[in-house]
Amino acid sequence: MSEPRESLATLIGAVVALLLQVVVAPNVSLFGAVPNFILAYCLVVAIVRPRTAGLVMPFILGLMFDLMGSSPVGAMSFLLVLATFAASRIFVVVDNGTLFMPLAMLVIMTLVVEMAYGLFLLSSGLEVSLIDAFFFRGLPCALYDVVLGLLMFPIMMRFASAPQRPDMGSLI
Amino acid sequence: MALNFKDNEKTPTGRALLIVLLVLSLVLVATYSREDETGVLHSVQSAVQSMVAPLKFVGASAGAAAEGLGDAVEDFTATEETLNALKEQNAALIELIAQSEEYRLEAERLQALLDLKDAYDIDGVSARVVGRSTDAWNQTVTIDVGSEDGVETGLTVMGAYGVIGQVISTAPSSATVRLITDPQSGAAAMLQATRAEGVVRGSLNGLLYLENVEADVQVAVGDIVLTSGLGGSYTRGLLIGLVVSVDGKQGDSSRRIVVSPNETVSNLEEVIVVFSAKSKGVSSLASQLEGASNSQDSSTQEGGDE
Repeated sequence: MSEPRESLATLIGAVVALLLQVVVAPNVSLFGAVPNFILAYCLVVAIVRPRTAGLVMPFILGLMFDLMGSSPVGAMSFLLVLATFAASRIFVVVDNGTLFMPLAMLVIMTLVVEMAYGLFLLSSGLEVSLIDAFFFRGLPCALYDVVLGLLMFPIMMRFASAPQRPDMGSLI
Repeated sequence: MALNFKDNEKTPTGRALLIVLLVLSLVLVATYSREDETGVLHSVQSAVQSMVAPLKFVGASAGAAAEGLGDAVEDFTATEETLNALKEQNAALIELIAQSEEYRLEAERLQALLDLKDAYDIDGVSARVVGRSTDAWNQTVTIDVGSEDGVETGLTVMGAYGVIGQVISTAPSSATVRLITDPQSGAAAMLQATRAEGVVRGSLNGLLYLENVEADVQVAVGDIVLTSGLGGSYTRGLLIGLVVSVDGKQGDSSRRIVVSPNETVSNLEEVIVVFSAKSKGVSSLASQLEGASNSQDSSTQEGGDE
């Protein structure tokens, strides 16, 4: 698949993730945990295309997430930009070609982002304990996001995965 | 484990963009936190919420349809042989019955709202819930009335059994309501029997807690909790719920009082935005609420027994 087509696939995926967040997410909440399709998608793209994943798309998706909700505008865009940058850079270093690394990356990053988002809200006046925030929102939401990420991963590997560089291919 | 440090190329442009976007995000957060509800970012947020409200409505309808389809599939697979012959003959009838049942339930809900409107002599506007929160940290719903219908930020919103929340933002044809069960909600409240005042707060676990009640006040399970109107955030004298649990005794300053919420988010379909109200029928509503809670409990019990 050529680079422009990969980018187009990534763009279409972003629009789909946004629509899923608006249309589906509120209706599939489990015990108060609403899935974050946008977070899962951005992380999957960062893992699938670690060298070419951009930062503008996570920023815009995060901004839309904030604007559609009732939380401080800019909070999710900040976290998505930071998380996708970190995930892509770390993944380039630790990738060993197994499914374990993407899974570990998804678990860690979704948990970090969900809890950091909670901390943003705590700092802006949400009066709950950190333990409640972790057990009632952070952890269940992160697990939900990981499941979504694992569903998205093979799809994005098929349509948006960057071709392997010749030097890497020859080494393997 | 082999680490590919050589492949981790440094890209100055990428890092500059990273810094720019992070700074921009933080500037947005700071601006949002500093401005009031008429500020630019709040206005844009309301406008976007208004624009995506129809999509949320589609989602809610699709969700209900999917739920129905799931039930149908479940029934079909459970009794496939028996139902196959009768299915075609009864399809139209079943559809009719389902539709009638839907109308009957809707009529019941609307009647309950009308009773509520009469009981409180409410001056307000009724609305349908067309969307729910897109994130896990906010318990909000979107309703299909807005500033064009006279809805303003801060107005109290009631369901069939009492207060369910407060309008936090408005657009011309829609409004966002923060539910009383949201941890960011806080309603000045009082116990009807003792007139003792406190604050009802939501929590992430979905329970309502009555806080800041004087330690020497006697609180019993079943006590009616009303809005006190203090601070002007909620209309005075509206039913919030009943006390369902008191952890700790009278005199214990750290006792925890749990109040039953009126409605759950998933059950909310029609609401009333209250412009003004006079409380004259709280007791009857409280008994209705108690009845509703008991029937829910018993049905849950029956379900559990099966």
